Amino acid sequence: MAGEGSAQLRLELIGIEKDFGGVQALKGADLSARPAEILGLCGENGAGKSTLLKVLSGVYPAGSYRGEVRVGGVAVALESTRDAQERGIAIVHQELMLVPAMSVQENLLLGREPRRFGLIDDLALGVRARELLERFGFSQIDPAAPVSSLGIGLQQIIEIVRALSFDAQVLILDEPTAALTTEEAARLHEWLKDLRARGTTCIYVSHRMDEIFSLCDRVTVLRDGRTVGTVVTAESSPDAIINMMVGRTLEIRPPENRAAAGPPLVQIDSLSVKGALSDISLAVGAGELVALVGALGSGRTALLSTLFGCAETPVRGDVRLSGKSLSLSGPRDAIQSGIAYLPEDRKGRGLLLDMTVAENLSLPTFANTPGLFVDDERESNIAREQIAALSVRGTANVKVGTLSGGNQQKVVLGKWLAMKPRLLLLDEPTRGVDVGAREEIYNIIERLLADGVAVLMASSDLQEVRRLADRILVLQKGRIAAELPRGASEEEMVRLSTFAKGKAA
Amino acid sequence: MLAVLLLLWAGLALYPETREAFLTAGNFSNLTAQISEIAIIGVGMTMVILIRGIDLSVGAGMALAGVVAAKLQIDHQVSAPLACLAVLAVTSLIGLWHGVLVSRFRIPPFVATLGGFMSYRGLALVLSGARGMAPMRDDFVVLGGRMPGHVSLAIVIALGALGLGYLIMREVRRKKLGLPRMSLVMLTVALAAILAGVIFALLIYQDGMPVPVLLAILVGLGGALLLSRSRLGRYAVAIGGNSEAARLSGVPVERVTVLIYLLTGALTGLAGIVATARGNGVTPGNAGMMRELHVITAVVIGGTSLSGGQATMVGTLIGALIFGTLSNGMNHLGINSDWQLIFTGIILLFASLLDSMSMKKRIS
Repeated sequence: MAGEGSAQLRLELIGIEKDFGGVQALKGADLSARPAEILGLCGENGAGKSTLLKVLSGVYPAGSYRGEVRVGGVAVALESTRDAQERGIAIVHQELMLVPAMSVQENLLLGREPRRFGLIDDLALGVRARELLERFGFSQIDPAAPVSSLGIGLQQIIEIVRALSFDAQVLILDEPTAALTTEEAARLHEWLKDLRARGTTCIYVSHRMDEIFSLCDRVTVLRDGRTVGTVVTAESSPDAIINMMVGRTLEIRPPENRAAAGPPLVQIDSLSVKGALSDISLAVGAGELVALVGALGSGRTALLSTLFGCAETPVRGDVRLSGKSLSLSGPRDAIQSGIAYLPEDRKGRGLLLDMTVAENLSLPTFANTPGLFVDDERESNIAREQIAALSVRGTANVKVGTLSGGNQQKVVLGKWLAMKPRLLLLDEPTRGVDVGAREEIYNIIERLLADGVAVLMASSDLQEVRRLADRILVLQKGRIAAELPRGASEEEMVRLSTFAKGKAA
Repeated sequence: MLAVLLLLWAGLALYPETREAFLTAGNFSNLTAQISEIAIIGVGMTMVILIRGIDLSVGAGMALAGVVAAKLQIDHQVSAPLACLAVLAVTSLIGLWHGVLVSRFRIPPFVATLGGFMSYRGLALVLSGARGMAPMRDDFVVLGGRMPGHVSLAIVIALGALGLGYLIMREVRRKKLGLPRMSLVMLTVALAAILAGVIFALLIYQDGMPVPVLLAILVGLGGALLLSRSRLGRYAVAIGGNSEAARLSGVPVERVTVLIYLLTGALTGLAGIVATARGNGVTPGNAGMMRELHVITAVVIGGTSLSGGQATMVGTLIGALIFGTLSNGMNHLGINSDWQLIFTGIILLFASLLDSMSMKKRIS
């Protein structure tokens, strides 16, 4: 950072080091941000971005790490999130941080409730919340509605509005658009540019290069807990930044030409689930990948979880796998018929974070074979095979929760591959996964397809859909709205999935 | 839940064998006095369960409270108010201790209070020499008795007026803030509820309202305000719903946890005082026996989720009334206490079944 006077910097992190019981997450990370700028923060999963943000937002109190945090040129010791907020630093976390049983207004003003006679003034609270929602263009949200009644996208919006409402000088956003529709993401970007014009500093973490380049002024890249460098986006390119992130050159491969799809392995006939899906008919061949695209709530996830037997309301219709009708009565049945499911919510539904890699990998295999005892030898064999096959960076006996997102996702995949599925259901297979691991996951999927596995994949990453899909189904409000061939353009997918009468999500 | 209570009452009122004994002012007055201890502790327990905790020590705590009150009065001739203060101090300290164990030392609440479940009962037995202690001072026994008729009349009317005043104040403030007014239907329902409550109370407390009932009403009102309108209550909901989100929003999670256990301790002391005053003495071996389970039952019947994050104070009070009505009704039906246990257990399961079914409905 030579040549920059500290006076013109709003925020500086200098030589931050932080370790967790022997594992060093940060080994000397630097970051500096100016007033009125949007600074991108990039790095593979496990590079230390989240840790750095937690230092910056006071989640890790001063003293639990080494290095210096300066705000406006003055060294500060941030003791708590509240302390950080009071110094004008607000953060939108990657995971949803809302209280589900509370209403929108209670969540928005949690910790800052207006009071009257010492008690919370809930009427004034409602008024304040409505003002906030109006100010940020979301007056259609009812402030009194329970926050759990909103879709994930709107919940994310609530969280962003809450952070914005602190009138923060520094606003940190950790992958804020992961759960947003294109339209919502565009609106968020407008606000951020607006805030920049008013002098706010934003630190924006994203895996998506298109976002980084359309939004950020500069980008700081982290690798293995260190700052690799900071570049001005106008003078750089996505490839250059990806190279900085992975430390090697990585080619983005075009969609592959697969061998012609085999006979239909999966046949779905007029599948309906009350309140989620209506009249879905489709077929997937052996070795074929069918992608499902559509806005949040369009039925992508509902279709996958229904096929895995997780529908919450009665199901009508017929699903056949190799000509045999499926009961759809629960995951156990689904697994026994050879269906595997990689859920969208990796941490909540995909993994047991406190169990080891080996235990996670062998769980579906053991749960579906008879016997009283756990066969240690078999377990370590499964673990060894899958860890090698998927090149998981971690050993069999570490807790899954300590791995990075990309490696966690490989473990989820591995746990299903160990039982050799015939139909693989993938829901956002690379959400929150860094570029390097993403390519590895794509290769694994390609390998499975070559082995004749049928794959049904829901994804909101359209580049990913283009990269992998043989056919693309656009879902809208629980129905199949359109079908597109391999190689359809992203613009077309977006147009078809948002070309609705009402508003998405 | 209110519907279940009214249904129970209607059933007992219509059933020929229970009609006469059940439908009297005296019976209702007794019923409410009997559940006042459950209601008082229930307010604290609701908050504890809301933050995903549990307090198994409250029954033993009541016994200890009774023994402390009795020992001070009988062996040391301490005046009633001073004895009460001492009891509240002791049980508040116990609550504080639980809170520190749970929040600072990360001991699971079940274990932290299970220790108390055993040791406070033991302490009560040791302090009393394992003998019943009686009688208490007259000015202490008053706490378990009835108020004069005209005083209770005044109190009931004052409470009704308070409700009415709150309703009006709120409407005025809505107008001032430019918010939509309460709908006519809601307004009528609210007014009718206040009126019905006042008339019902006047009818059943003709001979004077039991003091424990007044205490339970005051604690219940305070608890309802605490839960829905105080920062502490709001923070408790947040902690129960998503404690990480609460912490990152700047909620002082440890302090709130400690305060909630402390409150429950204090209310346990109050309930112990009431029980000892009502019985004009204490038998440390079985005072407050199984009370912790009765209270948890009432809280669960009232719709508070044992997995945290969701609670209503009114629900707990209604849960306590349902619990009391069940045992009262079964007494009138001549069902012996062994069978009563079985039925109460079944009804508890039924209540949580209802809860989980309505939860499913809400999700789909």
